[in-house]
Amino acid sequence: MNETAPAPSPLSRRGLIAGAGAALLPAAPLTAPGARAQAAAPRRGGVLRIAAADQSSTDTFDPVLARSGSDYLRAKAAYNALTWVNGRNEAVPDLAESFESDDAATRWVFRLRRGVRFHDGSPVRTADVVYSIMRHKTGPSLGSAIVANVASVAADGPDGVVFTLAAPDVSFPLAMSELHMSIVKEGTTDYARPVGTGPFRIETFQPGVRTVGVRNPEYFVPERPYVDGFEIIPLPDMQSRVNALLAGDVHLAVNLRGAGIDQVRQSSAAKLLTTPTSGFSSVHMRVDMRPSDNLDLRLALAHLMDRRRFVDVVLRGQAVLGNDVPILSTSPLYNTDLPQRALDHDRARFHLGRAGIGSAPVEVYVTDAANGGIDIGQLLQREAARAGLNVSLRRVPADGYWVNVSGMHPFSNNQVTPRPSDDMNIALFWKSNGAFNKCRFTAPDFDALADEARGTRDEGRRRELYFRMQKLIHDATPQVIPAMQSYVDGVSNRVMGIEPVPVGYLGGFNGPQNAWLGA
Amino acid sequence: MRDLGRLLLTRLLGALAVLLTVSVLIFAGGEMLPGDVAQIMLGEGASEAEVAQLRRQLDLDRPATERYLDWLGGMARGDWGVSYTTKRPIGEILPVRARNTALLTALTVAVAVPVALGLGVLMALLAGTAFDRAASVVLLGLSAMPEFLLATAGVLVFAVRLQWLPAISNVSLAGTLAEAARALALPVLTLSLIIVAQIARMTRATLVGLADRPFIEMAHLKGASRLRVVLVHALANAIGPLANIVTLNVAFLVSGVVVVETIFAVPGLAQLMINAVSNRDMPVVEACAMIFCATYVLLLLLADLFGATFNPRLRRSTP
Repeated sequence: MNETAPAPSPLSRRGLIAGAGAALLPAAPLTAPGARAQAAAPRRGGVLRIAAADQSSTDTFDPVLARSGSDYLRAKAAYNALTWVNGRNEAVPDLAESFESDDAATRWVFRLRRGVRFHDGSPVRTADVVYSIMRHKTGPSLGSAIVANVASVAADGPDGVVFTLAAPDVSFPLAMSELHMSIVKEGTTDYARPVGTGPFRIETFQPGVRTVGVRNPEYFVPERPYVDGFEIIPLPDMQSRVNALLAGDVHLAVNLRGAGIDQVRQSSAAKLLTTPTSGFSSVHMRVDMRPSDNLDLRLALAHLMDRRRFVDVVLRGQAVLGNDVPILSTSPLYNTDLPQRALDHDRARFHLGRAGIGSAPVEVYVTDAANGGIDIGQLLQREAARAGLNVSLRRVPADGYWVNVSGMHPFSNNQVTPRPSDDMNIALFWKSNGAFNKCRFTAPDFDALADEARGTRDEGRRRELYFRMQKLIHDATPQVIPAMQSYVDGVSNRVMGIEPVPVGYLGGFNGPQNAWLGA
Repeated sequence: MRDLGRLLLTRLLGALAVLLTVSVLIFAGGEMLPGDVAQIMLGEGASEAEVAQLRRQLDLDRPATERYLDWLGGMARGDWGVSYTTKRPIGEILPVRARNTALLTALTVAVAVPVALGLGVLMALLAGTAFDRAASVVLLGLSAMPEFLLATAGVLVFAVRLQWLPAISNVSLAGTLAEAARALALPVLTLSLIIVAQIARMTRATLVGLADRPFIEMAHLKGASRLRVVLVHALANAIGPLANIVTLNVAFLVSGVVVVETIFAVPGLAQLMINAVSNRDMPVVEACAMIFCATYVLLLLLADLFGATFNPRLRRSTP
């Protein structure tokens, strides 16, 4: 796509990220791995039925308050953000047809796609974008940490929006793909009947009961969506989701675990959709509290974690081994110099000797709220006993866990859901002022390295900076991260067109837009 | 009839007192739970300032007693209040949930109560026979079985293997009455098995317990047949206790079937309340509590009136 609008002066062509092909088809799947999906031309029609894993009377269409996976699915069906993410985790245009920054990556300009209308027929204007983003700055929002770096947002001509950042950020377009950043109409305060630009118009929305959408015939992505509509049915019980999938009552069942994965794998009616991500469950350890401030104790626990067994048995192999750093080992930014940690009683004993905590029990808070959290605790307890360490597990309910328990004790379960960019992950979870840095991790120069990486375009330099950050995290080990967990969904054999996108399940929460139903 | 009228009046006044007490207890319980709705809505990453801002928006920064009295005033005018989390009037949220609960309850009662009473009478008639013993063992086994086991087994057999019935009961999708019946077959079957087991056993026990009472002996001596003795003489005297058992089971169906609601995706009132508690959405919690409490109180009142109609002695002994 050629830049048609006159570019404001401080922008450079080098900053142009929008790719020509990607601009035409914002959320087009990459090449399909199986020949089958490509062999047949997509078919139109049918209603896609999705069994969601969470059910709450707080289900919402308000992007500012989106909290659960099904909120994200809903947001992606009804709205668009300025950008979207492809299967290689790159930002691609969505409501913005292009975006570019100045050399310093502190001034980003997004050009809106022309002629896009909201579901009620009104055109999308720059004021809508400014309003949608500013909601995170002015009111309580679950996305406020993502726009913390945004100093100002302003319209620039009829189709441009300028973001001025407090500190440079080369992956800012990825931040704008986040579903909290969905674009709503200026002035909207009631989200019970959402008006967006997305692939579906919302027909019925009953929180905790059902959500029904019908195809938006004016959707700006050609051909999409293929299905006439979708329905989300909450089925928080995993076995019920699998049963509904195998009985043919739903086409998609999200978030499968344990035996459910085995059942779908063995079934002739459905298959697994596995999306490797940088999300994980862990034991996080407060570095400012006794006894978890003891580095040797933390290292002993890291060597008492049977990561292999956790991946193979608990996660049914749907994960990548973790090495206590937040970067996926298949990512180009992963520090390959770090030795892979494994179960090692001798090293654990060595560190325990140096820690000098004797037979005093180490209390770990575990919960179902983190996927595999209790299993992590039990595996740790078992191996710790063999090395002479007394780990006692405090099993606490999922209810209110993230507000009342997580990070309040020396050792507790943590869970991190994948964010679109590693820069965002580092800023939110690892920088000393990060909103989710519950371990209180700090290391000399770490913040400076993070800030520099965020403003560095050069891949070689970025890699170097990321290597150094991972070394600091690995040395300090504020979290034992046994595995980077994949999203695992069950997909009926009738459903085609959904490809993994690492920001969420069902193709980055975008399954309804891309799916089509075979015979 | 004057006796019945007085009974009704005193019991209704008592019911109001119970509702008021329960509402205070629920509100106080909600205040004691760790974490409030603002914290839970904004999650762990929220700053203090954001949480405080949301609290102000939700009117949560006022004293608890003031908020309770406001809520009570609303209820007195028939206003359920507004959900903290969805900002929707609770009067709008309740109907779809209440409809699901009512549908499930009504169908289960329609199926289970006649079967259970019939089975109970039959067992009492044939007390001590092989049939009675076999039925007792089966019913005892059923009443000891948790509903998630019955439900899951039913789904695996009828939905996944045989594919006769749907695994989930999303009634709104089913167009015709036949489709709706098909969709609800499994949850109704599951709940019926549990209810039948309880009511049939109690029916048998009540009837057999009456067997050595003088008036039954008298009926036998008059030469009445065994069937007539049980159906006419014993059953009339068992109606009071039986009405109580049936209504307690109906009340359980209204408020306690969250497992079945969850497994079959028929979101009803019980699930709404659990959701509301975990989100600390107190107006919704209070609304559900009031409905459940009123259901229990009214059904028990109904059972008492029913019993009193059939047993004149009870009318006089009731204060």
